[in-house]
Formats: sequence, C-alpha cells, structure tokens
Amino acid sequence: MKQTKYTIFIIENNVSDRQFLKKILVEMEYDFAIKDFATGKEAMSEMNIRPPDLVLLNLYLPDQDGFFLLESFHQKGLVDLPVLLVSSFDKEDDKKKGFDRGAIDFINKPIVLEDVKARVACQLRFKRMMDDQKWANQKTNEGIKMLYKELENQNKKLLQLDHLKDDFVGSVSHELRTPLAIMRESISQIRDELFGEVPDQQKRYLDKALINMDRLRNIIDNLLDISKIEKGKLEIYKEKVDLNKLVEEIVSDFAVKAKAKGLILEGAVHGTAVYALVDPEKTIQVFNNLIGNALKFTEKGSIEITVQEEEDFIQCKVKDTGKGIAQKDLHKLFDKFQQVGRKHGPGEKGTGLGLAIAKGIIELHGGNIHVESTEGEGTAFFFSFQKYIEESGSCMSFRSALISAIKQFNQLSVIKVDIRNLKDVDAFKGRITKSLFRKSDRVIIEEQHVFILLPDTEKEMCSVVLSRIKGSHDADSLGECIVSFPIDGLTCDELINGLERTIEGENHEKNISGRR
Amino acid sequence: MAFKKILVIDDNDDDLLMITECLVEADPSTEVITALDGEEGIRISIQERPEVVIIDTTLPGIDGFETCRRIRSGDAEVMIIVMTGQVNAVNAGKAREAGTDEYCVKTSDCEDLLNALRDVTSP
Repeated sequence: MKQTKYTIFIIENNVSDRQFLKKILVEMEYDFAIKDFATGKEAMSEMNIRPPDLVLLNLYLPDQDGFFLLESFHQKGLVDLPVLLVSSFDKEDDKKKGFDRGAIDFINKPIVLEDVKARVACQLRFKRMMDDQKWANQKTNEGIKMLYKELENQNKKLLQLDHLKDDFVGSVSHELRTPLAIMRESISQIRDELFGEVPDQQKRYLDKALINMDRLRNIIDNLLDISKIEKGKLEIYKEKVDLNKLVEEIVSDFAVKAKAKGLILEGAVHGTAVYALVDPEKTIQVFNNLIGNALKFTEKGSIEITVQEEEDFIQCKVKDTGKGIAQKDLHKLFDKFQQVGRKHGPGEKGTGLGLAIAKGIIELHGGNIHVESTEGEGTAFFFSFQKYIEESGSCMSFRSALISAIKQFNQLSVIKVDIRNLKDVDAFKGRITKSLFRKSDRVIIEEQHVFILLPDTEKEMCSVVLSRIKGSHDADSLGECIVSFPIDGLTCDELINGLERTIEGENHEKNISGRR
Repeated sequence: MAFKKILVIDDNDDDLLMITECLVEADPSTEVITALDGEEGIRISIQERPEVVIIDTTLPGIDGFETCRRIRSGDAEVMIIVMTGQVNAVNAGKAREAGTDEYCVKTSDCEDLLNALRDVTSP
C-alpha cells in the first residue's frame, strides 16, 4: 500500500549519541528517511526546505538551546510537529519547560535502545493515524462536493430536455388544431344536410365522428393549455363576472349528466351577485374540470358548489360525496398526467391534466387551490378568486384582447355588432354563447357594441357564424361589420379603423337609400 | 501515468464502458480488463496481475471494501483505487482501512478517477 515516506530529524551535538540514535532507527523495520544535525542552525535551515514528520531533539546544543528551537518551530507554524526530547535533563524543571513549549515525549540519557524504539514507533503510528484521518476527511469532502456538482449538472440537462419536450408538445398541439377544426366544420356541414339529404344511419356515424373530434380537440386544447401555463404564456383577460350566475349556468350544463347518475347537483344560488375580477372562459374551465371530476368519481350522494364572499377574496368550493383520495396521493394530485385512484375502464377517459390546468389558471389569477379529502367520504376543493372592486375597473377592453389575439394567431376575424337598437340584449348574448364552439373564441361586450373574436377563421366563415347568432328574429335591425387579420389590416389600429369605416359607410349608405 | 494493464471492478455495464473509454482515451496503450463482481475481480487480479485495480464500492456479493481488503492481503504492491458513485456512500476512511492507495468518486467525465491515477504514481 502506497504511503508517504516519513522523515525523522535527529538534532544532537554529541557524536556518539547521534550515531547511536541513527543506528537504532535504521534497525527499526520502518521505511523512513533519517537526517541528523549537530547544530540547531543546520536543522533550522533544512526545516525551511521540507519539515520532518518527527524530531529527536537534545535540549543542550552548543549554538542555540533546545527551548529556543521549540519556540522557533511554533513560530514557523509547525504546531503539529511531534518533538521527542532526548536529554539528560540537568535541571529539575527542564522537562516541564520542554512540554510547555510543545514537546510531546522524552527519552532519558544515557540512551536505552528499547526506549527509543518504543517511543518512536508510538509517535509514527499516531502520526500515520492522524494523516489517514485527514486524508479520508479531505477525500470524503471533495468526493461529496464533486458528486453533488455531477447531480446538479444532470439535473440541468434533464430540465433542458423537459423544456424541449414541453415546446414540442406545445407546437405539435397547435399545428393539430387547424386541420381538426376544418375537418370538424366539414363533417358538421354534411351532417346538417347543407349539401343534400343524409340518411339517419349515416347521421349517426357522423355524430360519432363529431363527438370524438370534440374529444380530440379537448385533449389538444388541454395539452396546449398546460404547455402555455408551464411556459407562463397562458394569457387571461380579467373582467367583472358574477360568479353566482356563472356557477348557476355551469350547474345547468351538468344537470343532465348528474341526473343520469342519480346525483344531486347543487349550485350556489342566493340571488345576490358575487362579482369577481376573473377571465370568465378560464373560470368556467376551472369549474368544469372540478365538477367533471366530481361527477366521475361520485357514485351516490351529492355534489355541492358554493361561492362565498369573504372580506378580501371570493372563496369557492366544489364538494362531493365520492370515493375520496388516499392521503398518500394528495400531494401529487395537482401534478400533470396524474390519474390518482382512477380505474381504467369504460366511460370518459381523462388526460390527467384537468387539475393541473385548474391550479395553473387559479394561480394565474393570483388565487390558490387546496384539497381536503377523506377516503370513502368525499373530496372538497377550495379555491379563491380576486374580488371585483369598482375602482379597479380593469375590465378587459376589446383593444387589448385584439392585440393579444394578433400576437397569438396567424389568422383571425372580428365581428362587430351594434346592439343599441336591440330589444332583448340578454337573449342575444345567450345566442352568442351558444353559437361559439371553440374555446379560443372571445366575446367582448361594451355599452354599444359586441365584439366577437374568432381566431383561425376566414372572413367567409364569419357570415355563417353571424347568421347563427342573429337567428330568425330582428335579423335586419343590427348594424354589423367584419374585418379579418391579416387581409384587412396588420395592426390593431388598422383593424379597428377598418371596423369604424365599415359601420360609418353602411350608415351612410342607409341614409342615402332612406332619402331615396 | 502509463499503465500496461488496469482492472476495473464494477457491476454497472454502462459505467464499465464509460470508465474503459476514459482510460483508453487517456492512454491508448493501456489494456483495460473488467470484472462485474468482487469474487470475479479477485480471481482476475490474481490471474492477470494488473498494475492498478479500480474497485466500485457497491458490488453484489462481497462489497468493494471487502474486495479491496482481500486483494491487498494477497498483494502488497498492486495499486488500488476505491471509487464511489453515490453521494450517500462516500467513505474514504473505510477504503483506507481496507488498504486502498487512492480514493475517488465516479463522475461522467472520470475527472476524479484520472486524478487518482496520477496521484497513485506520484511519490
């Protein structure tokens, strides 16, 4: 085994003693180097080049006395250097003086062979132990540091790969959406007999195709949402929303499903409006995901949704009497692609993204979500939203919605409808919501106008949407116009100007024709 | 640090490949032989008489420390380097007690191992 070779200094002016000490050390079965000096000065100059591992020192030297040398060792920082005093110890307190100055042991003169062997062997063993300990500590510390660095590097690489994967999922999902939308629209038109009669059997198959296309779109939208949330690119457009009314609408959407399972579905209706400053579409998504989940995992009992106005925020709750979630699974509940406690089988299949998206949306709103659950008794999700305060008045304007839509989509159309002459505005708004199928479609209602933003939609398609919205009644009583990005304008201002020009132009024409 | 023959004892195939590549890259004339557990390592070290034995601490059967102890007891001259890949298993003191000359950690660039190989030959 490779070990550092130790060096021993003998500092002794008496020639015969020096020779005797040297002879004893050479005979010892240790592999060390021996250097002997007759004066303190010689020893000190060698000491400066390479300090030894053990010193045998006579206290009474001709040039410097041994005590002085001991002090010099200390001054040179050789605090741990072991020194054995080999002396006749003429004065009574010489031993004490020697130990006070750092010597660790002594050998009496006249020199006895066994004394030297035993004391030197003992010191060398001790020294070897200390050195090994020091070496082991150093190697262990360095090793741990190095392995931590290695782990950190591996972690960084994994994170990079993770980002790459997220980017990939995001861009692929985006690319899938447009062709899917075109396919859906085509099948929908055939099914609705726009191009001729369709037998009932074929209609059933087309319906099946449509249902599954919607499912596929839902999955793609979820993937896109989670990818945007993770990249911090999901944009929310906050406006004043009555959460009670919103919940009431959502509950009525789920009523059929709940009834089919024999569940009681209770929404919070206290008649009073609870205004929150939220993105209505995204908030609906949160409730949909949570209520959808509750329905999936509840076999009997009820699902209860409450909206409670607190001093600083609005507390919402979706509580079910379902199978509950095991304590050990709760911490990973909001992680993506986690399907905690879900049995694979027939029925709706989830993507395992619903709760992760809900959490992301709530956090983007500045709120938080947590869950309480008892296995066999049920689960309750608690989440909070920001209160709408009149002064904050930060309603999402049409302008900012348009700016962000231009950034986000390659193509989009805007329908502007004048609602000043409209008799039943609420019914009209209801028809708009029913006529828009895609999550990315946006409706901004201002005092005199309604703006409908339709991403990935050509101008020609807008008239179809418009005719659906207008329905059969008051078809002529609305002034409306359509502009499309990028053909009618490349910037927000150009598009808004386009909208104003068309409306003025129409009014102008109407005036002229009226005069005629 | 020109070595004719180095024995590496590690149960992980990927790590064996990585270490072999590092050693050959450092010195193309080196012959690297490998063993997948302690018993096999001890047998090969007796048969092949390598100049250096590199031993991973976590091995199936007898562990790296015991393997080191047994090789050392049969051969005082061979140079031994004990190596660890896990943060929680780093223990240079135990390796020294088992008679190793050097100790290093296993990283993907073999930096510490190559350092140990240099140190093992320096006076």
